Amino acid sequence: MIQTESWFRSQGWSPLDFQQEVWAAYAAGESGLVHASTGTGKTLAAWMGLVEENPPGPGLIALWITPLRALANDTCRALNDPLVALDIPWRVEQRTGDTAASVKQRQLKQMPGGLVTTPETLSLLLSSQDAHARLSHLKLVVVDEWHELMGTKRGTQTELALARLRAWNPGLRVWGLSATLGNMTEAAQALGVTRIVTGAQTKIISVDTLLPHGMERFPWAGHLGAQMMPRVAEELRSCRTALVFTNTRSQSELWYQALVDLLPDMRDQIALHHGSIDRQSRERAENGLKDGSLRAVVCTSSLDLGVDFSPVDRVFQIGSPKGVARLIQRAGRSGHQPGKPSSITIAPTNGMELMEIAALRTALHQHRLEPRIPPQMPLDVLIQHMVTVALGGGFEPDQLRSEISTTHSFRNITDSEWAWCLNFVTQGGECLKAYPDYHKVSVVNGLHVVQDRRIAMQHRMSIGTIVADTSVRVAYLKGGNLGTVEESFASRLRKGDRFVFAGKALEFISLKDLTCYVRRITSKSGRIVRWMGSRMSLSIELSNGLRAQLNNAAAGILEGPEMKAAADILTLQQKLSAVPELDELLIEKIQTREGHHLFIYPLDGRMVHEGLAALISFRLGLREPLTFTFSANDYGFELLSADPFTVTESDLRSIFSPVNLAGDLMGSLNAAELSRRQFREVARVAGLVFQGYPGAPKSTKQVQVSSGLLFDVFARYEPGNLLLGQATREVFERQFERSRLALCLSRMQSARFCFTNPVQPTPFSFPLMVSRLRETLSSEDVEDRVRKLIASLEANRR
Amino acid sequence: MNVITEIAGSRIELLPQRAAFLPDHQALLLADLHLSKGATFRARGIPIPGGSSVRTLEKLTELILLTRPARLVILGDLFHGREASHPLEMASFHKFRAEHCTLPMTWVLGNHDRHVKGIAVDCEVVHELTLGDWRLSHHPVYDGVPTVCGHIHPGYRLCGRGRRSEILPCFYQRGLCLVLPAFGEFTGLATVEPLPKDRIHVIAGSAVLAVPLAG
Repeated sequence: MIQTESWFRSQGWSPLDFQQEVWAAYAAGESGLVHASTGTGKTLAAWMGLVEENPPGPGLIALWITPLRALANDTCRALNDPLVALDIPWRVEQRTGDTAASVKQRQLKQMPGGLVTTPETLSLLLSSQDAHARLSHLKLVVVDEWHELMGTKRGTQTELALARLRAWNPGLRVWGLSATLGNMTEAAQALGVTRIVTGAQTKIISVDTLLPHGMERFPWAGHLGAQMMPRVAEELRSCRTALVFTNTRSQSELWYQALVDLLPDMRDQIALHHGSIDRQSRERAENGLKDGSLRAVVCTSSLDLGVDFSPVDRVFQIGSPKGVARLIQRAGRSGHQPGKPSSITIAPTNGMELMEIAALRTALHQHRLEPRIPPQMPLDVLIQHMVTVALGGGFEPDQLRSEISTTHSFRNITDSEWAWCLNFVTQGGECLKAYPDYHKVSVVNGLHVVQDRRIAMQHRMSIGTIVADTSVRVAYLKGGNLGTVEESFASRLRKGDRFVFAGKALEFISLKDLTCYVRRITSKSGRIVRWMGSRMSLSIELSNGLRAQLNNAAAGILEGPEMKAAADILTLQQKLSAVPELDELLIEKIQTREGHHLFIYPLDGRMVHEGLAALISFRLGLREPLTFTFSANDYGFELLSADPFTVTESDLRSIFSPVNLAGDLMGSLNAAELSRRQFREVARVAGLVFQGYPGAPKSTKQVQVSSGLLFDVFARYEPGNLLLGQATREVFERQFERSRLALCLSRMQSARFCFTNPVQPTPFSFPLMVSRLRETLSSEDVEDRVRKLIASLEANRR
Repeated sequence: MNVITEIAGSRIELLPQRAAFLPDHQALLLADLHLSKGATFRARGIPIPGGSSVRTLEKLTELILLTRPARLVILGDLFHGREASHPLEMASFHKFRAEHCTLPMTWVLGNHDRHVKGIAVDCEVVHELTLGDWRLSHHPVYDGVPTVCGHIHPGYRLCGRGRRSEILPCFYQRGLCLVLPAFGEFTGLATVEPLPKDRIHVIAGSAVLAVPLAG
């Protein structure tokens, strides 16, 4: 490593042990996975082996896969630096959804030596006719931030793409870069490598909590944290540069507004950064951080990741980060130099979060990190990949089958599952044999290919849709892009509604051709539409910690500043109801004007509680016809019925039984239509729903359909469709964390019950009562249910 | 359980099978069957299972046996797209017509039907039909003439205590214009937001129920 070492010296660095280990392994032809804290030199560990080797061109020799487009710029620069310094003739360019069409065209004619790209754009490359020619000179593929990808379908998409690249480049070396996770071995397996290199982990992380001055009471509910805004603003005055992390994009918008209002003299030195705003605004914020012209950036997970951002001196986290790994990741944004400690300041948004922070600190101290679980055999992604490969030169079924069987996700695919998928892309499934019109993938000279240009175009348009909901452009009527929002949000807007986006107050005008037209407004009155991102669920590690904290509190022990600050809330909870001990399950029954509420607090995270709420209302409904509305948060769930219902302790014991869990969950799922909703994602990825695009020919309107209706049609006319089963499995595993749910249920059944009848909502129950995400589950037939609804409407009129 | 209502003095019966009946004319009215919609999807590479069109026609047959109408009027969007004209697709429709060859049928053309111009169907084809005081059309018209139409696929969201809510297919009346729910199996719902003077009847299982609107 002569060149590398001399370049390191010229930069005033000395190679770290783990970097040298990776370089040696690379030189020996090995692949592997490096895990280390952010900002400790993983990028150069993975890169310099290739630079030192300096293979001759022509063509593309290195691919760098990154989960976030926002990272491509910085990564590109960091990878080119040594190439320039060492006079290496080739360069790295980026190719993402943000890259100009002209640049993409030029790249297709003449590939650069290296490309920084996203999983979606890589899939698009694989779908081009000349994919093989372009991608068969590769020496190295690096998958950056693998921990972000591996738990998602984009990770599966990456696995499948890697299998293809390995088949085309037998000597290919694949290196993954990851933050430290609870399951590193599985992370390596999912990437198809065995060697695991442990990098620098030395950073000490200190966590402190901002508490409001004086004896101001913390709100019981909410997660926006408005009351903490003045405190954070005050702290920002004394920072040189700071990052303010929020958990959702709407929260980042609100905080940005508030901080600008509270710090008018710093107005131009505060910026907003989240995944939906326009690229140029994002880049302005990133550059402002680097050149020091910005003092604070309010951001979401969009800045969780990344190459070496120049360090900031302070990191704030608004609300609980909900997991230890995320806390470490975000804290790592400060003190970005080896040896220097990282610190993070948390601003809790409600009283319950105080206790979570106390639990976080304990878990951090014990270094208990969460795992990321890769999706198992998502057939929708496979189906998408099969069509991609059919487009990109075609495939021979047996050969593709053995290729995909090398991936972790599909290592156990059975003959019948494979046959079903093949059938699905060629004939549209078993039922469609009689329909000669159907031809997505057709067989020409033994090769499976796509011939129809329209199908090819639709497929390429939809490759990017694994990411999330379809996005809709936000733009001014007179032109000017602001960014994108989810279609589900845009479709809820009515003319005249106001919302805050990209730091601007906007009024909605119309939604047309996947563009949400808005105009700028100055008045702040009117209906403000909140826009929720996905919310994270409390991790297992944090749940355990939280239970322990409450156990102490029940015994009167309040350790640490957070628990002391929560004393008021805990005392009131104790007075109105109870604070549960470790082996206790707290259950509250309350009657209000809304109806009859049952609250149960297993403290096992929102996702598990959503599953439990559906399950338990289903089982209660088996005994008598009842309609429940339910809500769930990280601490517990609520079942609400308009009609009175009785439930005793022994009823509950039998209702918490693990017997027939899968069947009952399935029953409750059907009723609650959760899999119907999950089908939205499956249908989109598998190419069943085509959303159209700006300027799409009118004929595409005829094939636009809601995934809910599709689900109904499949369930009725093709119940054996494997994608239906997958939607259900995904709901089980991803939305309810089924294995965690089963554990939770058995703990609930054996717990001591602490049954209370509070006369008013308690600090624990209040947040559930105001939470807006509600599901309905009913065992009454639709006619009775609707009659009751109408009767209550009649009653209201009188 | 049907509901009999009056519009400008003329009686009309609202059926929970997503159809309406004019007792004075013994006419069965239905809208938006969207037959062969699945075929249109399949031709675009989207593998929708078959069966919904056949089921739609089976439901229609059941309804005919139940109501014994003297005539049948389809208020537009009988077919979804041009793939309906494929012989395989038309077979089930021809079979249906053959089974009810004595029942006079009128097909009021809808916007989707333009895709199947000139398709050979054994029935009367019109753009609009007058039956006594009634105008029967595909698109809603609000000009003071009592009208029955389709096109919208109306659905209504009912909200009640305990924060329940439910979206149901509905009959949607504004002024003298009554919009029927979509009859086809493979059709979705468009949620309507009625004005206080409008009338909504939702279909809940086997019942048609009037919804009290605010105001």
